[in-house]
Amino acid sequence: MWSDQDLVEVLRSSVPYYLVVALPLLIMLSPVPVVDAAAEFTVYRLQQYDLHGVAHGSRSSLVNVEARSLEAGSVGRRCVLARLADLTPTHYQRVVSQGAVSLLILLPVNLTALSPNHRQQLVQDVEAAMLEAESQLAVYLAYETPELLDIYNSVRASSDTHTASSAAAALVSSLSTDGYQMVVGGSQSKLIPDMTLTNIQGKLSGYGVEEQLPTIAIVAHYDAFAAAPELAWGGDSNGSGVVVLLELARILSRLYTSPRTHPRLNLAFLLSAGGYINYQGSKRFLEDHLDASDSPLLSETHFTLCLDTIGTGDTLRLHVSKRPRENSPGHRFYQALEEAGAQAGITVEMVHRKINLQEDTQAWEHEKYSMRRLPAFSLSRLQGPKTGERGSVVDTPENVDLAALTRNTAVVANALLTHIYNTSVHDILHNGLAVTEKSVGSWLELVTSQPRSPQLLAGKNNPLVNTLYQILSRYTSEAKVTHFKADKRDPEWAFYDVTHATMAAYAVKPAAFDFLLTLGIVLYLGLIYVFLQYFPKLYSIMVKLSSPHKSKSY
Amino acid sequence: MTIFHFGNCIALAYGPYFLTYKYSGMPEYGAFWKCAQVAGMYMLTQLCKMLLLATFFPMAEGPPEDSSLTTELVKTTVDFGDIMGLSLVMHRIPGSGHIKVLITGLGWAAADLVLTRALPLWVGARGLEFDWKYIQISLDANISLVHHLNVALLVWLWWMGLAAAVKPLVASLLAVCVYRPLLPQILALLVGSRPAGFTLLAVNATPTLCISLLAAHVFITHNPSRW
Repeated sequence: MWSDQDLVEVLRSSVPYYLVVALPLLIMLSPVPVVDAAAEFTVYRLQQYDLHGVAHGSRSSLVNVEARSLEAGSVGRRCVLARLADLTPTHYQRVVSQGAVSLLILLPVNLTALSPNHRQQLVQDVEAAMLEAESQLAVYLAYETPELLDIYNSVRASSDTHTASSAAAALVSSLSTDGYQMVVGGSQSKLIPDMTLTNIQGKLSGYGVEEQLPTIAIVAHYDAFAAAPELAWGGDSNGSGVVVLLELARILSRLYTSPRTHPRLNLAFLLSAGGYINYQGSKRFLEDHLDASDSPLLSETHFTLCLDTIGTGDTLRLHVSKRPRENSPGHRFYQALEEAGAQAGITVEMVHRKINLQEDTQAWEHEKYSMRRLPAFSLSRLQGPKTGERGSVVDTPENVDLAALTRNTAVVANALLTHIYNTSVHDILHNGLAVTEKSVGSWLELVTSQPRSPQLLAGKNNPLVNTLYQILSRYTSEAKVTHFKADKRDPEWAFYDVTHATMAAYAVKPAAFDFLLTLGIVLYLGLIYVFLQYFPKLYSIMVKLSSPHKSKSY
Repeated sequence: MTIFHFGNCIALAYGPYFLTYKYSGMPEYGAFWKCAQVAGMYMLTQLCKMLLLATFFPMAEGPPEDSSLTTELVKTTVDFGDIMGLSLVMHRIPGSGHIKVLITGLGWAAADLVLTRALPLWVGARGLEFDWKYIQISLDANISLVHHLNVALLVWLWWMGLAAAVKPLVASLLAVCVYRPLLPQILALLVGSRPAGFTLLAVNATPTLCISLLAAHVFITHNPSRW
C-alpha cells in the first residue's frame, strides 16, 4: 500500500518534469483568446484596382501593428492615424516612403459641411494622390466616432511623449498612457475573378420604318467612384446624369405612346457601366452596335448626348471634341439648349477639347463615340474632366442641389423636345409631363441608395442594376441588359475584394512596461521573502510589545 | 498582452503562496499532501455552499450590483459554511500550533486561488489587450492569502478553548472576516460610489491587515498551547 509519504514523493519527483513539458504544450495549443478589444469599428478600404495593366491604390488589407499619429517622428512598421482635415498629399507621400504598414483616415461625420476650399485642397487632392499609384500601405477610411476620437487623441498624446527629455520620463509616461495595437484580420485582398459589368439599354422607336429613322442616343454612366468603394455614393457624379436620363425616359415614353406626338426619330437610352474605368460600358456598347452589322441602332445617329455631373451650379457646358457644323443636328441641339438655358436663367457654353490619342484613357464619355466618328458631346457643369470633383468621397447625395438638378433636367428636356419637334414647346410639358422636383428627388434617392463603385455593382443579379433595368423596361421598349467581362488574357481592368473590414484597437503597453512590472514584482516578492525570513524575530518583538498588556490584563 | 505579461501576473499571484510554503517551515512537516487534503475539503465545502445557494436563493435578475444589501447579507451568511469546513478539516490535520494553522490556511487559500483566479488570468492576461484588471486580480490573490490565514488562525483560536473573555472578540472578528465581501456595497451606500480598481484593493486590504494584527495579538497574549 502507498502511504501518504510515498505519494508525496512521487508527486514531488515527477510533477515538475511533467509541468516542464505540459505547460509550454498547453500554452502553444490553446488559442490566444479573443478578448474584447478596447474598440471595434467598421473601416472602408481604399480602392484597389488595375486599369490598362497599371496598378492603383492600396495593395494590402492586413494590419497588425501599433498606432502612431501623423506627427510622430518615425512611422515605419506602424499604423498611422490621421484626420482627413490634417492630411495632405505630402503627408501621404511621407507615410508611404517611411514604410508604414497602414494608414487610417478619420472622416468627419458630416462631409457636406466641409468648405469648398477644404474639399478641393484636402479631400480631392489626397484622394487623387492615393489613387494615382499603387502602394503597399493598407489604407482604411472610417467615420469619426467619439471612441475613435478618444483613441486618436490618446495616440497623439503618446506621440508627444516620444519627444520627452529622457528615456525615464518616457517610460514613466508610458505607465499612464495607452498605446494601441490596430488589427484587421481576415485574408489578404484578392482579385475578384470573372467580374461582370452590366450595361442597361432601352429604346423608343419613332413613327415610321424604324430602320430609316435617325437616332439620338442618351448615355449616362451609372457607376460612381471614390477613394473607398463603399463611400462612393456618387450623388452628383454620376447620380445626377442617371436621374436626368430616367426623367427624360419617363417624359418621352408618354410622348412616344401618343399617336399625336409620336416623332419620326428613334431614341436610345444607355445606362453604361464602368464610367470610371475608361468608359468600358460605352466601349462595349459601341462594339456591339457598330461592329456587329445586323444591329441598326447606331447606323444613323443625329448625335449622342452623354450626361455627366449636372447636379448643381448655374452653368451647363457642352463638351465637344469637334465643333459641330452649322445646321448639323448637334449644332441645332446646342442652340436649343442655349435658348432653354436662357429661359431658365442659366448659361450654356460649348467647351472644345481635342481627343488626345496618346493617352490610354478618355477624359469624357463622348470621346468614345467621337473616336468612332459618331457625333457626340458630354453635358456637364464641370469645366474640365479632371477637376477632382468626379469620383470623390465628398460627393454624397446631400452634395446634389435638388432644385438645380430639377431645373437642369427641365432645360435638357426642353432642348431635346425643341430639337425633336423642331419647334419651341412650352405647352407640351404639362399634365404630368413636367419635370417635377418630386420625381427627380425620388430618382436621386433610388440611385444613391447604395455606394456604386464598379466592384459593388458587379454580378448578374445586382439589386440596383435590376431596379434600373425594370425602370427602363417600364418606359422603353426592347430594354435589355448586357453583361460583359474583361478580356481573359489581357484584362483592361481588374478589381480586388475586401472593400470593408472590422478594425479592432487593442490597448497595449510597450514592452518596457512589462520589464518594469517584472522588476516591481521581483522587488515585492523579495520583500515577502525578507518578511518571512525575519518573521520569528518579528514575532518575538510582537510578543515583547504585547507582554505589558498581558501583565495588565491578568 | 503577451505570455510575458501572463507570466508576470502568475508570478505576482502565486509567488507569495510559494514563498509562504517554502520559508515558513512547512516542507519539514511534509505538509504538501495535507495542503492537498485541505484543498479537497475546500472544494467539498464550496459544492455544499453552492447547493445551498441554488436551493434557497435562485439566481437574481440583473447585475449583482443591483441586488439589495439584505439579500447580499443573507447570501454572504452562507459563507459561514467556510468556517465550518475549516473547523472540520482542522480537527483532522495532525500537527501542533502554528503549523496546523499554516497548513489549513495555505491549503484553503491555494485552492481558492486555483479555482477562482487561475482561469480569468489564463483567458485574459494572454490577450492582446492590456488591462490593469489582471494585475489587480493577482494582488487580490495576495490579500486573500492573508485573509484565509486570518480565518484559519481565528478558527483555531476558537476551538482551542479560549478564556471566556476573548471568545466574543474572536467570534466578532470571524464575523467581520465572513462579511468582508459586503464592504464595497456598504461603502457604496455610505460614500455614494462603489470603489473599483486599486481603491477596491485598498478597501479589501485595510480590514484584512487590521484583523491580522488583532488576531496576532490575541494569539500572542492568549496562546492556549502555552497553558
